[in-house]
Amino acid sequence: MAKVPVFKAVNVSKIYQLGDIEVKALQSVNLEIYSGEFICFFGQSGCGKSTLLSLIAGLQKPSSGEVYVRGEKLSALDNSGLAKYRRSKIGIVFQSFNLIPSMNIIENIALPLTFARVGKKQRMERAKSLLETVGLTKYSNHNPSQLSGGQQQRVAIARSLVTAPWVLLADEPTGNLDTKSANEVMRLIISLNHRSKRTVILITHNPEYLNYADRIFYLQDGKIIKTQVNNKVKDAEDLEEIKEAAEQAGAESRAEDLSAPETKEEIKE
Amino acid sequence: MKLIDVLRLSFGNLRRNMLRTVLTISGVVVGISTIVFLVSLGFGLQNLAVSKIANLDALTLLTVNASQKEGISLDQSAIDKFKNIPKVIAVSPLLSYPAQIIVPDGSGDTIAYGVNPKYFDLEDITASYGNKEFSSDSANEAIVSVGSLKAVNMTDPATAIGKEVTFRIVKISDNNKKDEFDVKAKIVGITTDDTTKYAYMPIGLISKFDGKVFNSVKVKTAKRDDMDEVRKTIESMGYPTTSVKDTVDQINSIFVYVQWILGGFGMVALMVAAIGIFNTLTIALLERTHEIGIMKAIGGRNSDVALVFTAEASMIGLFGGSIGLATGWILGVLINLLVNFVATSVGGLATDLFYTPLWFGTFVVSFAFIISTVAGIMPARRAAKLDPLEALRYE
Repeated sequence: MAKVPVFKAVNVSKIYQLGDIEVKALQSVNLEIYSGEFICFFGQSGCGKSTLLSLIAGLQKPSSGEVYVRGEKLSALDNSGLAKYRRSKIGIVFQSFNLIPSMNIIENIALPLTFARVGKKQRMERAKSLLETVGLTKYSNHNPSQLSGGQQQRVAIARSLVTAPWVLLADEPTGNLDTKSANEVMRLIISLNHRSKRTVILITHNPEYLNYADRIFYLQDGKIIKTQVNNKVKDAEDLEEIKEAAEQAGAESRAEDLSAPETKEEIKE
Repeated sequence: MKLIDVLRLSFGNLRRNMLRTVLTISGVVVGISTIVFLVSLGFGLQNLAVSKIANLDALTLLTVNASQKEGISLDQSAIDKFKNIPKVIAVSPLLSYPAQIIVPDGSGDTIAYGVNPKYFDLEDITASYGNKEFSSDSANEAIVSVGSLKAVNMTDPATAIGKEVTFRIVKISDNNKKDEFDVKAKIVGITTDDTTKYAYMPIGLISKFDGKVFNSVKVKTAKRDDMDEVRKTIESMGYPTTSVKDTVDQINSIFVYVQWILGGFGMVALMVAAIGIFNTLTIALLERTHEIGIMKAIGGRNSDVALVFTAEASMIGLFGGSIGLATGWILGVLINLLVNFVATSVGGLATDLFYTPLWFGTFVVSFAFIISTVAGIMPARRAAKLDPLEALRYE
């Protein structure tokens, strides 16, 4: 493939110092991820998959090795450069939703645009359209605590997409959800990849979700032990209950609006 | 982040913990209101002291004295020169001699002043009985103080008006020779001043005997601000000058210290409040560590985080400062009302003990703003420097 990978990790290691003990969270990891791929990091807790994701997100720096984003070294960015990278190039979804409790739903979704100095009217419009996408329009003025876990996670996904990023990074987004909510959220994420061709990196330990990924990186003890290419990727519609949930969430009707990140105008600062 | 969004966020954060915000602001209110209250008392007392010495008119008045130097005499040609100085609106010469006031059954000491009719207006001397001015520049008339009349047992002003008395004017010449002249004049006006003895007579009446050189000359300027300029011009001609302004300046310079000391007490309270702000923000920092992690993870800059915290401190200062100013000011106004009520009901003059100048109010609020902002800088920097991932893990 002549394409420049969206992400490329070269000999990336991460060592934590816990008192006198060195914990090798990642050891010489190499990987390449291309535009439009649906990637799963799969492994047991403590295998290093979250660490790998946080390195890609620029939330921490590797102890050695280098992460390249579209050919550019991530280590070359300073703090405000990293903030801009997280704000405009990637969207992050966490297991624990991480909404800001003092802000209502629409403000939470618009927050990355607030950091990007987008005017109030413009960012509210954008947030509103994303809220519609995740099917929660009527909760616009609610506080996060008034929503169910699944609803909060959909808000978090809307927030991660508000700046129209290239990539969605999702760290066990369904980990805190019941099956029904989890399916709603997964349906949304899958449709973001399949319909909008947005690159998705999903951390999961639910093997069921692996069927939807293009490639799966199996991690163990800080190493990638196996890379599996899925030849027959399941479409989201294959799972009946997921489809139902998605319809409830109104995701299908809106999925095409989430145009591919490459064609989307970048947020100007 | 845009400033308006920083303010929105900070304000939201302050509202979230209303009780704590109110308590922190109260700290600033106590400090600022104490400063405003005490310093306003200082300003009030200063105004009171200055107004006892001079009314506002007196501050436009300059007294030019005779020069000791050879060849510079305070004569008519000097007066003409003073009149030509720009911004001078009136010039009035003064002759003064020790004198005796002589009536058929006794005599008393006094000082005879030879003045122009307009002098009374310049010096703000008003005769309470009889005429307020002379009928002409050389009329045989006198306006005297009650003090002078007491010496000759003419204690009832009503009967003294219209009496003709003799003034024996004493002139001591350069070679210590004593000359005496008698002038007859009718008492046409009496002032209520019973502590000082003086008798004003038209300058033409007294200058018959001497009059080539004046003892002093009053020069009036249009505005108070013109005084310094006019004064310089006259002094450059070689004449020493004095003004009530000198005394007022001295009083003012003393009151600067008084105000600093009074303000200092309030400053202590404000420092305590600043520590309160620091404390509040440090706690807020711990409480919101996770939130700061979220903000950073979704693309907030370190400076955005720092700005939000600093703005919270600044807002506390601004609110506290404004409310403190209002509290201190209202307290002063209330005491003024009370004091004036009591004073006027026992027949005294209404006086304001508290006075808050507008510039001081502005200054004090800005001061609260700055102190609070400074108190917020450290917690804000700590918040900005938090590691995003560690902050995210913090619960």
